Amino acid sequence: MHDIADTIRQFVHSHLVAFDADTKLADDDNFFELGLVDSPFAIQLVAFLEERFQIRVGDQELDVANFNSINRITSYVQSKRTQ
Amino acid sequence: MTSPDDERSRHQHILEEARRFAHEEVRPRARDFDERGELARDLIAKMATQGFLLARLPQQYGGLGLDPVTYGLVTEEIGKACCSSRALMTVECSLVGETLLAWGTEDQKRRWLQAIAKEGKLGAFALTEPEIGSDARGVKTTFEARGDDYILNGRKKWTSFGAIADFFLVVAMKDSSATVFLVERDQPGVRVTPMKGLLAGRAAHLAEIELENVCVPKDRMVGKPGSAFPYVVGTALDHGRYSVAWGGVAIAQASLEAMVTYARTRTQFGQKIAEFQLVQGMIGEAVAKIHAARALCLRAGELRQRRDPDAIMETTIAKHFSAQIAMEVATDAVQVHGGNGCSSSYPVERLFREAKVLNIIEGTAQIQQQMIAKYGLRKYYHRPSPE
Ligand SMILES: Cc1cc2nc3c(=O)[nH]c(=O)nc-3n(C[C@H](O)[C@H](O)[C@H](O)COP(=O)(O)OP(=O)(O)OC[C@H]3O[C@@H](n4cnc5c(N)ncnc54)[C@H](O)[C@@H]3O)c2cc1C
Repeated sequence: MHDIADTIRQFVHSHLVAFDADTKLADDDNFFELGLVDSPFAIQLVAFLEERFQIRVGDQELDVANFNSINRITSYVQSKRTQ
Repeated sequence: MTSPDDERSRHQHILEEARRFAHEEVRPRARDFDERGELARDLIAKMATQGFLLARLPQQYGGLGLDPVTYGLVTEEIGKACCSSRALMTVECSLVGETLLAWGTEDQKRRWLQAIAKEGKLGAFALTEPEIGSDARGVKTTFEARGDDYILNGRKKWTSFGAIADFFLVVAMKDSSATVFLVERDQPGVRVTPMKGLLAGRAAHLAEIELENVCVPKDRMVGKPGSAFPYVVGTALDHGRYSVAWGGVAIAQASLEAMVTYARTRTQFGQKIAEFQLVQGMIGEAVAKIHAARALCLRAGELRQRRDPDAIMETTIAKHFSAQIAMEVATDAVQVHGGNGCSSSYPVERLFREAKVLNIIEGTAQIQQQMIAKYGLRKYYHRPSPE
């Protein structure tokens, strides 16, 4: 659980586009709404999750609501891995 | 199970076949297609039979299962011969095929990808509208639910191959959230008007598409409601950019070959013009730019093969650079041809016009610059250490 959250947190943080270097992102924050990621980020994230956790995100499963905070992505990956 | 060696030689064989096909069947007709404003149906059918329309897609869906690099090299071969034929590959394989592959249901994949691969059908990707281009999230085409169906209203413009496509992937909006629908051409309320008077893409069957109370069944939604941005459209444009990046290399390479050949045959002041250093300057620049663009495309292809998240930005960089240098090299190719470069008797006249489009489609140069700048601002920032 921690490993998954850490890995995702690291990926998201390394992709934040913020001019204020002290910008903080909490695990529950919606990074899309806060404008902290750029437009290619969403599909970069999908590619990352598929590659890193060997899951398949596509088809009809993607609910955008799952992919806007570190906590939501972590739960999504966990649920996919236990399927 | 085929061995990696068998796979490699299969890919190599397809690339050689693409080279032959481009040389013998596409190139000799490119000027005619441009002048008549249409890609011949028999050529489209042959491209489908050869598997080029879905070259990158898995064989189970009627594709050739090419890896991204070989797919890029095949795109370059076809693109060198005829830009509109390359555009057909971009639309069928990258914009429509890859999008259905990534986000379509199994039924959608089986039905619509097979239709392109085996039934002579074509798809098209309808995002842009008369009032909406770069600001794609602002599309004005709407959808609303009615029972189990959706009703679409709006207008699309600049849809490549829209004039002859059998179905369209249409991006439509409801309450500021966009969804992609598969709309068939012969559905009531769909009106297609071919576009004429174009600088380039004259044989790419561009069209405006009007949708008036078009009733789309629920099973024609591609992806989940609200998933068009950033997911479904993002996937389409990412694959589209990869294809267009190779299209840029193709135009630049074809321009270079034409300029070298002309420079070595044209005589002025009693010498071949290739002997003038100012002409050599243009040739030298062209060679260096093309090698650099191809290296970027190859790198993007390798990253795509590994499904590396950086592939998306490297693809954007490759597309931006190769579109840019295609225009520069094509401009110099016209220059080396002098007055002949301004005549449709020489391919560089067409290449010059076609090159311009690459800086506009799949994200304009200015939009790409901003994406790349944001990437650079993030990746190359080092927090200043305290004094
Ligand atoms: C040959 C051809 C084929 C095409 N095929 C398709 C297709 O198959 N499907 C489809 O959906 N569309 C297609 N298009 C449309 C194409 O994707 C759009 O033309 C493109 O996205 C640009 O939109 P626009 O033309 O409305 O220009 P605009 O968005 O109006 O841009 C005009 C100018 O303003 C600049 N600009 C806009 N916003 C900004 C900004 N934020 N910052 C700085 N500069 C900005 C642009 O860079 C450009 O220079 C095609 C176009 C052509 C020419």
